[in-house]
Amino acid sequence: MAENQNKRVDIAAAQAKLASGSSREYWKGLEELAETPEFTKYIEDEFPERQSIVTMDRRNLLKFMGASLLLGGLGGCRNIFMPQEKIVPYVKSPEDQVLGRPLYYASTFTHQGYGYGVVVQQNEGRPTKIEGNTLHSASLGRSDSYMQASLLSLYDPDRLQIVQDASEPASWDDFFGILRDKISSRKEAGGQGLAMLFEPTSSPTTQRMIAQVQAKFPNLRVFFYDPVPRDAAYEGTARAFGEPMELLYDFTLADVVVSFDHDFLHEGPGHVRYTHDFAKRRDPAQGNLNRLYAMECTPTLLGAMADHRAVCRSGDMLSLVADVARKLGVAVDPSIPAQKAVPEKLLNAMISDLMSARGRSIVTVSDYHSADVHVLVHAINAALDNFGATIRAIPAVLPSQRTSEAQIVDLIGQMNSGLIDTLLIFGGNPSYTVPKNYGFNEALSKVNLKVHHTLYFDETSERCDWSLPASHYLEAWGDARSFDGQISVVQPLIAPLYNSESVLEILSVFLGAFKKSYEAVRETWKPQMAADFEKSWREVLHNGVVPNSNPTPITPAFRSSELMAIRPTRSVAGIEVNLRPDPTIWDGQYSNNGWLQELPKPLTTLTWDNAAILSPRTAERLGLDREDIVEISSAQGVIQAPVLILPGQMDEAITVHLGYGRTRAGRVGSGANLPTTDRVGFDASPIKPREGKWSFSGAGVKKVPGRWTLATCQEHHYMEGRDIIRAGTPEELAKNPNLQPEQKNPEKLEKSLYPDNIFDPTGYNQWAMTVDLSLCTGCNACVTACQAENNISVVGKDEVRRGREMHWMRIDRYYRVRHQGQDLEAERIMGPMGNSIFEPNSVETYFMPLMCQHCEKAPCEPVCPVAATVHSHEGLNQMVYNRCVGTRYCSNNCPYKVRRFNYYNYSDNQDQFQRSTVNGVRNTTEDARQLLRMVNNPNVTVRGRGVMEKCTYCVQRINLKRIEAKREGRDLGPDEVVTACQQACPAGAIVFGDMSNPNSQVSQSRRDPRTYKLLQETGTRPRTTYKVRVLNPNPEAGQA
Amino acid sequence: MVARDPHDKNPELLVGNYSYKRMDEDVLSLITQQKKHPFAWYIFLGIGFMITQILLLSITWLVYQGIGIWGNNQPVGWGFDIINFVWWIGIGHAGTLISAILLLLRQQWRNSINRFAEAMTIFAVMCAGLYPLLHTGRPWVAYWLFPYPNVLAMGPQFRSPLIWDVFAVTTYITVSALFWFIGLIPDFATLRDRATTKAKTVWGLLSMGWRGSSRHWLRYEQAYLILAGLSTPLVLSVHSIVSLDFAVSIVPGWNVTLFPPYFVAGAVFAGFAMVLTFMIPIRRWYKLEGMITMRHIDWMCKIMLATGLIVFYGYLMEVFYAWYSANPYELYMAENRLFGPYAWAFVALWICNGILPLILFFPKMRQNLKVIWIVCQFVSIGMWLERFVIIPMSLHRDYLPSSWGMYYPTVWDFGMFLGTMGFFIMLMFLFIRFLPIINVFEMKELLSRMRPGRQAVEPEAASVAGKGGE
Repeated sequence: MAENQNKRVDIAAAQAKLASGSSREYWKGLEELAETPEFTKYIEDEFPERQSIVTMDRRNLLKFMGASLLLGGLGGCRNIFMPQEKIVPYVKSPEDQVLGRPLYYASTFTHQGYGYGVVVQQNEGRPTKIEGNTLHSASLGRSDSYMQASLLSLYDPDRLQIVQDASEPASWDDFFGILRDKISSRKEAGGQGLAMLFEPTSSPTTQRMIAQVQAKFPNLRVFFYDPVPRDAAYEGTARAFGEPMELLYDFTLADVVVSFDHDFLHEGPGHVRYTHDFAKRRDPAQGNLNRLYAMECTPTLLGAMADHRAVCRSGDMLSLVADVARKLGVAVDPSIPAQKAVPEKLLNAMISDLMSARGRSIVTVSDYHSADVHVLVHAINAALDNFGATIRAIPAVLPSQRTSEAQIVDLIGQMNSGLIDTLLIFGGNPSYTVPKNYGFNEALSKVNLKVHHTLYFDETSERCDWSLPASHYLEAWGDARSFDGQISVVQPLIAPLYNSESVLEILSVFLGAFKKSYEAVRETWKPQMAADFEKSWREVLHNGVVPNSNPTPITPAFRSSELMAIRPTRSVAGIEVNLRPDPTIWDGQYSNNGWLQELPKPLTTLTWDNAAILSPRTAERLGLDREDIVEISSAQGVIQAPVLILPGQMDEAITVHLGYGRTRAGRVGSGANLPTTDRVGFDASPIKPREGKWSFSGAGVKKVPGRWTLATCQEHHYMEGRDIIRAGTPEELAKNPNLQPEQKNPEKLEKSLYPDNIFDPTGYNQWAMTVDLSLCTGCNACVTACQAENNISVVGKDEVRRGREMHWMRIDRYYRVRHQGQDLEAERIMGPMGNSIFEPNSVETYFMPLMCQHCEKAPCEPVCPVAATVHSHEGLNQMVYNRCVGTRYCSNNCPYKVRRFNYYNYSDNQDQFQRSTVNGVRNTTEDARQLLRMVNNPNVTVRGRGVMEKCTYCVQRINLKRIEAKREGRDLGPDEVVTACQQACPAGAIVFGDMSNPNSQVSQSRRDPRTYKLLQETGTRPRTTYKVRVLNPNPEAGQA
Repeated sequence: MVARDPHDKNPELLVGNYSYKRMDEDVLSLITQQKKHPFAWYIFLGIGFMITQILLLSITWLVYQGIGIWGNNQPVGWGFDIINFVWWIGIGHAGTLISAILLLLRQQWRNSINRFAEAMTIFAVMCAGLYPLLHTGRPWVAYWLFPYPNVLAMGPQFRSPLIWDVFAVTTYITVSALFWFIGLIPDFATLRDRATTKAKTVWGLLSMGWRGSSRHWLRYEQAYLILAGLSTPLVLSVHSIVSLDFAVSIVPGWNVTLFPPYFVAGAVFAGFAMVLTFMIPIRRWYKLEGMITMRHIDWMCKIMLATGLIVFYGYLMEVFYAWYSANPYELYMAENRLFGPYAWAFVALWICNGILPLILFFPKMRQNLKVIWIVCQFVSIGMWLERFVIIPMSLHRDYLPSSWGMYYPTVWDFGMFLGTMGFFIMLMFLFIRFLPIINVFEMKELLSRMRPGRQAVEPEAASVAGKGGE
């Protein structure tokens, strides 16, 4: 352009224009003034220098045309490189749906037939997170691992997806056609030959429809079976009070709690609620401390919480309870021998505690003990006047569960005798869960038409003619009752992912026409609700619970006549074996749930396996080491199991968990046939004794050659004399409120050469967390909640074994052994030399939830070469995933070792489905990945391979609340933000909030004199602080 | 004929009847004549080449799969990757020490070994450099560690010792390569002048117009001296900075102020061991005993002995300060080293680096090539174990016993390590084949200086480039 200007400025013309006055008033340059035609053309043409087609020669023109055509054609090649995607907007927007904002619906999760109210978060139509429902009495807004993880089962790609006739795909119409034929052919005989096997259900609608079916077909048989039944408990209450009852404990009122092997904090109906209530009495700031005595056969979380713990063989439990009863003045059959398991001093202290807490104590026993023991415990409670005070009762929620054992035996008998022509199995997996020696599978083969309605194609489906896909509870309507009888509605949040139907829908066919579950549930409630049904119904859906549905608890009257019927049990010498449902995958129903498989089992921190749990002394005596394989035999059968040594386990006793060794669970849970390096547990049911017993004595134990790799998350169990977990009695705390060691002066420890704040924190929220070790029961609900909230990957057994589990938070577990008054926790006593001092009663267990401490002077931050982990003005230690190059230096420098690294591309869930890979070759299945992506929280980045990750204090929740507050033009409230772990914790041990606000819960919690900082001597100044665990031992009990 | 260093009473830096011509022939004919290479050359080049394939395979698989193929875990974030990085970097140090510090100190005995040692420096740093790059979870963005202008407006984080590492190592390799190349120019010119084949063009290009004029020599000497001055601090700084990767952190067993000098001494120790490992067989195969004499070897052994003692002192101090600090974590670290699950490594380390090299106190042993060679192997192993003791053994049991774990390397860890060794061997034997392994012109200078009667120049032996030809 410059060239043109120089050439074409015609000064003379410009001067002439100016002189003539015909020029423009304003001009930009002399060229414009001159208004030469060249310049005018130049201005007018957008690309003045371009080639014109007219001036181009033929050859060049053709070249350009050809090139243009070619380049134009390249655009069509996109499909070669990229998948074709169609974007379809909502044609009709769902009600209340604002993209990017979650919606919440109330529903009900059921476990063992009991309902737990939940509130489910839904993002763009996908359920993404489950929390407790604050209005539901069994959860009070809190949750447990099963509840949290049930979400993953919804998206499990291994679920049964289509109706199968044998192994052939079929349709529901095919099945209903056959079913209708059967029904009509059997109608005359009143349904003779038809039978149904249910899992226990508390659902009023299911119960109503079953009753209607039975009314219509009087000869149709209905059975209920649960591998973890409530037989003993119901039988006990039936004998003690005249009818099967559900006992409701009020732990907030109990000063003294005695548990006979009953881990009410982790198992059984109401455990979430009970943990919540129990915790209320473990915080000295909230009131008088209670005192917990645990007499147990195998270490449980409750035993870890106990102020006094003693072990007792299952076989001796009756005499122990009888002894306690005797000492409390209950008339017991004198032929029952006195107990020898528990030190007399401890027992006497317990008795005197109980005596002085009449009406303010609770004595409980677990369902794993006989009805006799239950009756005795009821007698004790009656003697202590606890009924009506701390213990009340309602009629049994699952009355069918009084005879679970008898029913399955009856069913097998009937099948064997050919009385059953058609068996419909609704849920459950009896082919696996019924102990092998019952012969269920053999009997089942004699049934003409076998139908399994199930979530998964499992061991039972394999043996059935028809397999029908069942709807997940988030896909179909229903209802359930909780441990205290409260009724809540199961509300679906998503249309069935597969072609599945619910139990209610199949039952409706028996009653006539097919009816959707929604209709069935409404039908149940319509007559029972107020006149304006639609309005009340909407209210029920909104709240999740049916108002005033709890039966009024009564004070049960103990019938002492039953006491004399209790006879001593024959005690058998030899090694005792206790069977228990697995603490994470239960009876095997959660086998294919990666979150639960990889959840470290409380106490053992074992993942992906069950094991024969032995005490150190017994293992030493038998010459067994961890990961050795033992053969355990009983009168019923033989199993092979890996050895796991657990301090605190009773000597000469083995504990094995049921639920493993699945052969048809899915890609996650099946693994019974893999080599022992990859095997996923063993099936313990072959040695399960009959008659519903949970233990037997005189087991044969034999070492067999081989090693069985076990993946535990924690390999070292002693604090090495370090100041990690602090625990003390109220007297000790009165002297030194946070048990700060003398040599540790907090001010000196936190002295730093560097300025305290790089940023000015004023005007910003300052996030902080406190964890009360007094309240934490180690139940792992927080760990699963964190996994669900933060899209944390499941990595598989092999990776866990390599120490690469991804959980952002973990529950550390330490032991402390007191031996002859001497604290031996500093000694390394796992070696063969030290085992002899492992008196099981002297083992104390401590838990410590550990997540990123959000250090104010975080050691991880300065070492990152690319500034991928940085500090925010709000005190968050932030991890910038897309900046991380993965040097792992931050993790090395973290004294808490809370950082997790994506060694592989874990987030595509490959490992979850390809555990047994050839030499580390990692395969993916696209369909599975697609489906599992749906479970992800859209507000949390899914981390790819090679980046570091860690707890963020749920920064997405902070931001969500901040945006809400901004929209409403207000400041963020002090306790508005709730982290996932905090929300899940049934004990309320975790408090999170803004510590810059002195009135926030977290500020108050931090002011608690029990507060201390973990590893304060490293100068990290963690934002997460811990509170000393308070022990409340009876000084008269003496040390074991 | 024995050439004597005037500063030494018993020098034997050149043994044999050397003339300029013979020097040229002895060294340069290795380049011009393939038949001069013994069978061992084929064997070792072949082995090196084959093992290099393992390296390529390991790298490919690593980039495809991720760090998970290695044994690294939580808590042991660094394993073989950083052990090998530090080990290789350390090995390079002998070269720099010989070329720079000994040059500044006017140590004539460096002349015959500096080329070889410098080549080792460069190859070792090449091997070392692979690790920091590949140990990252996402090696394709490892360039973020460099300060380059970008639209993110993000630079590296200069507080991190890893960034100091980036600068230290890149400076080191740049200066070492320059130093090496400049030193090669006069020899390239000799090669060019003697070349009869088309290789003349290549030598011509590489010699950059060197004609051997006084001005060239003057500039050469100045440049070489300046580079030597630049390299001297590098000898100390590179490994000091590498040691800061550990010393800056708060991991018990890493957070030690002793690390920088102790690492430097260890590096020189390892470097000389590696130089001797290669030099002892090569001087024999190529009949260079006259130029790389027992005197050289004796001195190198003495340096090894001295640095080895410093290293051993470091080991003792580590145990001492663990006790002296009264810090329970440090105390446990020492206890874990002595009695923990990896105690074997610690014991082996003391034997390899602390005890066995003491044999070099005996002058007789410093003359026994077999003994020296074996000691060198132990030192190499020992220096590797030292990094094993420092890196995974400190990490595997740090503050909270709950997160303690074990570290087990996998086949890919070994594959990569072996692969770099193969790569190194391959490069060394290619170097022997294609470049003058002894600094010919410096040897000529030595010859001229040591010759009684300096004027008696043998005209036929003088080459254009040779210094003695002035």
